[in-house]
Parts: sequence; structure tokens; C-alpha cells
Amino acid sequence: MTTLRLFAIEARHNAALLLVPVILVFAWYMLDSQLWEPYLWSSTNELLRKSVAPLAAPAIAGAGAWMAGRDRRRSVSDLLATTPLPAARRHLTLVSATTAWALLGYLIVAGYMFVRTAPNATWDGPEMWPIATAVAAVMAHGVWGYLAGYRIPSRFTAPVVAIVAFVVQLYLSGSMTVQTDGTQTSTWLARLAVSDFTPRVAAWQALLYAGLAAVALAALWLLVRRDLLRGLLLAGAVTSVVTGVVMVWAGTPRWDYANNRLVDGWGNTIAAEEYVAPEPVCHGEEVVVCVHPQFQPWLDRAVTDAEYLVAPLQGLPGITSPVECRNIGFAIGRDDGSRVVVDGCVDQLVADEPTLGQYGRIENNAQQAIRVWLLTRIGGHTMCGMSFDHGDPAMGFPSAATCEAGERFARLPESEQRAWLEAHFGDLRAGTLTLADLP
Amino acid sequence: MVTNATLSVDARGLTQRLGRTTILNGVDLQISGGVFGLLGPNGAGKTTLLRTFATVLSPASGDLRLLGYDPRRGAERTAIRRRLGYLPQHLGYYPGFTVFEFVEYFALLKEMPSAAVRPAVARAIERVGLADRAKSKLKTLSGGMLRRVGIAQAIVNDPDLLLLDEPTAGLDPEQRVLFRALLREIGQTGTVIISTHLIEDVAAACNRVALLDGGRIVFRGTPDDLSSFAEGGVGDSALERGYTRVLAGARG
Repeated sequence: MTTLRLFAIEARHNAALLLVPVILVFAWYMLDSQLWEPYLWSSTNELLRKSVAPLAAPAIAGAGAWMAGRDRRRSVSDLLATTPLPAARRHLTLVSATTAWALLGYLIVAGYMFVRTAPNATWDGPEMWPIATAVAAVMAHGVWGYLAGYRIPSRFTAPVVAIVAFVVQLYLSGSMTVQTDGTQTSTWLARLAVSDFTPRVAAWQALLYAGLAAVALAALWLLVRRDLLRGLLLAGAVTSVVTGVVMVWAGTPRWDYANNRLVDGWGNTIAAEEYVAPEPVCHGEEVVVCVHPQFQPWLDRAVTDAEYLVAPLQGLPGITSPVECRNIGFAIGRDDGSRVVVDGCVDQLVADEPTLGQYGRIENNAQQAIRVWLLTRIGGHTMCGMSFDHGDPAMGFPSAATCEAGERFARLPESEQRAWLEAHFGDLRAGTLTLADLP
Repeated sequence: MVTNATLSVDARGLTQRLGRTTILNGVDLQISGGVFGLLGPNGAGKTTLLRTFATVLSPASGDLRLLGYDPRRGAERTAIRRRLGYLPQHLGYYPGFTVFEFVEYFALLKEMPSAAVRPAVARAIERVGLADRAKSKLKTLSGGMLRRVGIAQAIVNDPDLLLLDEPTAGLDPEQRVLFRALLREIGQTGTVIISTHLIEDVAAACNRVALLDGGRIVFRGTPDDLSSFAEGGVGDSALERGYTRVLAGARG
């Protein structure tokens, strides 16, 4: 009862209380600017991991440091020293009250985001390990900040601690390595960041942060009074941290180029089944669209848009029936509203696969001109106007002449368009036409 | 409760050092019950002596027993602290706390039984005349009121040993009179040690007095005993003259 009442007083007069509206306002901004319909668990989980947790953790480290220095700033140390309640218990109450506010703010945001997402999302669910990691990380940051503030009770300690914590998280999360094929992948250090979620090591990541919190607590208790029990607690906590770091390192998958396989830190092969993509969901009769199951609510719209795209090409040589429209995308945005993006399907319609360039893009100018026409017709993004005079076909940018040809084709009557397509579509797909062959 | 047969404070050869400077030099003091006044000039070691009695400082050497316990031993120190009230010379406080919360906070830290805390806090605030300001934030109070809040937190646990360092500093005359009455009331059942420069506080409230100079006790007795040294001293009252005379004598 005494502890509860102390907790209530400390919580009511805590600097961390100010963090709650900051976290809520920031989260509201993130929600408003990044979380739109359709609500996807992938977006929600990523927002929580990469935006809310990395903000809350360093902020609470600063608040912890500030609260720890309070007694010396206020010259209450003498008075407190004469009270019988163990100092460790008082510190624990204060640091708990401090971190509780950040946890509350974080959990309110997480709960709200889950409630918004759950009724609408069609695939996957909330990532619970990142929640556990974030909770442990907030506690760890709070206690480490408190420890720093206790040792160095300066007014500058709090901002310095918050900035250092933020920079450390930023450094960890940005830790990349360049593979032999030129691609960049996250190193195992990145898996230590609170913003990361790798299912294989998620539990160890949470253990690491819980261990870090315990290390700081044990260190604080040892500073107040040294005894064997507190020493053992510190040893146990350090063991948890070391175990967490080693297991995150070991569990992070890496590519073994010599043997062309995915391995863990011990060199054990990681079964490919761990990374099987989810079964796509398909719909449509004349035009079939297959999408990731999380986009299922938009499947009907995708089929309708794809049918409109394919309509002028139906029955032409090379256009199968039904057409399986691949590479359908979804643009999720607030200002223009969310929409289906069928642009990716255009390339497969106007070009045989062998004619595509190095990066899988159309490089033939005639094919690009017809692509411009089709995209203009459906209101897609032609990339005309973004190009240099001569364009960059390898990167998908049409030249000015190509755009002009596509727009000229678009102005033709539908009957003339159809007649030309029936006569030349096979050659167009084979990549043997030039801009001069277009009407 | 401390009976007359039990010494609240038993200091023998008590020494306290700050670096290479000796602050208390072989203090012998036995105090049991009543209101005890600790007099002395600035730098005499009064505050250090009170901080030592308050278990803030551990004695550098000598023997010290408080309420029958040895403050050097952890468990016994805790037992002392449960029965201790302390008002430091410079009271630190949390500006955002209300009067009630501040006193309650220290009542909880003094490990008072949960059920007793709120009534005890209300009573302590009432005794120092701040009942009507119980919900005021400390940052809104005057210096004298803050001093009374400090006294309230010191007496909230009905301490057997109450240590007050310059308790009347900042109090207006009316409050000082009320405060002296409070001291006498507490002195009926426990031991109160006040460190003060104000001779009139000692004259009005203390039944025993000691004079500290240069870290040593140079006088021990009743206020009347001190007044008996008045001849040849300087001051407005017999007690003041006794004080200056004893001090001059101690300094040779």
C-alpha cells in the first residue's frame, strides 16, 4: 500500500508525464500522415516499430535522468537520508513511475493502431514480439537514463542522455553491409535496434533489452548499497544481455556465397521454408489479378482497373485469354487517396519478355510509345516530362519523341488505333518496330 | 516512548571530520526527554552534530547511541530512523507537491502504517497551522510557511527524537510563540533537540541547554544555569549575557 501511494505521488509529479501528450501528438501525426485505408498490419507494425518506439525510448531515457537528479537539484538528499525506507525501494518507485508514463503512452498508441487496423486488415496480425521488445526497451532506456542522472545530477544530463540514446538507436538501425552482389543488407547490429523485427531473433532481442534494464537496476541498487544478492542480480542481468547479443548475432541470417545457401552465425543452413511468401489471392475472368492477401479488400477494384487497361488489346496477337495481369501495385496516400496501380501490368502486355532490358524494363521506343498511350488512357504515370531530351530507356524514362508519339497515338480515333494494333501488335511485342512505324 | 530512564542521545567522545578539518572534537552529550537547546556561534559544529544525530553522517570516531540503538549498524539505524524527525537548516522541497503530498511523502518514507498516514498528515499540518493551505503547492508558499511544512514533515510520525536545525528562522513572532508551545508539547513525551541562534527560543522552550564552540561542548546545564554566568557578559538578557560570558571563558 505504501509503495502504491508513493508510486501515485511520484507519477503525478513526474517529468515523464509531459511525454505522454508528446508521444500521442507525434503518433497522431504519424497516423494521420502515414496510416490510411486500407489498413495493413505490415504498415501498422512498421509504424509502431520504426516511429513510435524509437521516439519513446530515448525520450524516457532523458526523463529518467531528469527525475534521478531531482533530489540533489532540490536539496532534499539530507532529508531523504534520514528516512528508514530503503533507498533502493524509493529509487525503484521513482523510476517505475517515470517509465510507466512512457509505457502508457506507447501502449495507448499501439492499442489505438491495433483497433483501427484489426477490423479492416485481411492478412497477418499484430507483431507481438516488437511490442515486448519496445516495452523492454522503454524500461531499459528509462532505468539507464535514471542511472546516468543519479551519477551525474546535472541539468544537462537529461538532454545529453536522450540524444545519445537516439544516436545509438539510429546507428544500430542503419548498420548495413554491402554484399558481393552489390546489394545492401542489414548487419546483425541492426537487429539490436528497437526498430528492427526479425522473427528468428525477436525473443532474444526482447531478452537483451530486458537484461539491459535489469543491469541498470542492479547497478543502481549496488550504488545505493553493496551486498551479495545485488551483485548476483547484476551478474544474472549481464548474462542476459550477453546471451541476447550472442543469440541475435547467431540468429541473424547471412548468405554463404561459397556454398550458395543461407546460414546462421554458427554456419547452420537456414531452411528456405522459413521465408516462403504467402499464397496470393486471385480474382477475375477475362483478366485475372493475383495479389498479396493483405490487399484482398482491393482485389475487385484491381480487376476492374486491369480489365479497363487490357480492353483495347483484347484479342490481339500475344494477348492470351484470360490475361494474368502481374505486378499490380497499390499506392496508399492521403492527399490523392489510395488507389490501385496497374502500371506494372503494361510492360507484359506490350512487350515479349525477351525484349525487355537489363532491369526488366521496356527499352524499345515503339513499345514505350504504346505504353505511354495505355498509361495516358488509364490516367497512369507516363514519366513523360521527367525525362531528358533523349530519355533513359534502361531506367524506364521515355524520350520526348517517344512521349510525343504515344500522345499522337492516343489522339487517333479508336477504330484507327484498333486497326493499327491488329496489323502491327505482333511486331510491336517482338520489338522490331521503331517510332517511325507508328501512325 | 522514551522514558526518563532511557537516554535518547548518548554521545561519548564523538568526533566528526570534513577532510582534514575536525568539525566535532570529542563531544560528550547525554540527552533524555524534554526540549534540549543547542547553542553556539556560526561554525561551532551545531549543524554537523544534528546531522550526525539524524544519521545523515556516520561518526568518524567515538561512541553514539540514539534511542538506545547504534546508528552504525544497518538494522539499528533503520529502527532509529523510524522514530526520528528531522528538520534540516536548509529545507529542500519539491515545488510541485502540495503541502499534504509533501508531508504524506515523508510519512510514507518513514514507513508509517498505511492506515495511519493520512490522519497523521492531517494532524501534523493542523499542528503547524497550515490546515487551510493543505492543498496549496509548495511553490506558492512564503518562506515562513515552508518552514512550517518542514516542521510538519518532521513531526508527522510523532518522533521520539526530534531534531530541528534553526526551526524558527523565517517564522513571524506569532508563529514563533505557537511553535514554542508545540515544542513543549512534544517534549512532554519525547526528546526535542533544537539548534538555534535565538536565545529567547531557548529561554522559552528548553529545559536543558548545551553550548558548542569549536566542535567542543563548553557548557551543559539548564537555561537558569547559563543565566547564572551573566555577570560580566554582554547582552540584553541574563541568558544572553551568560552565553557570551561562557563563550568568552571557553576561548580563554
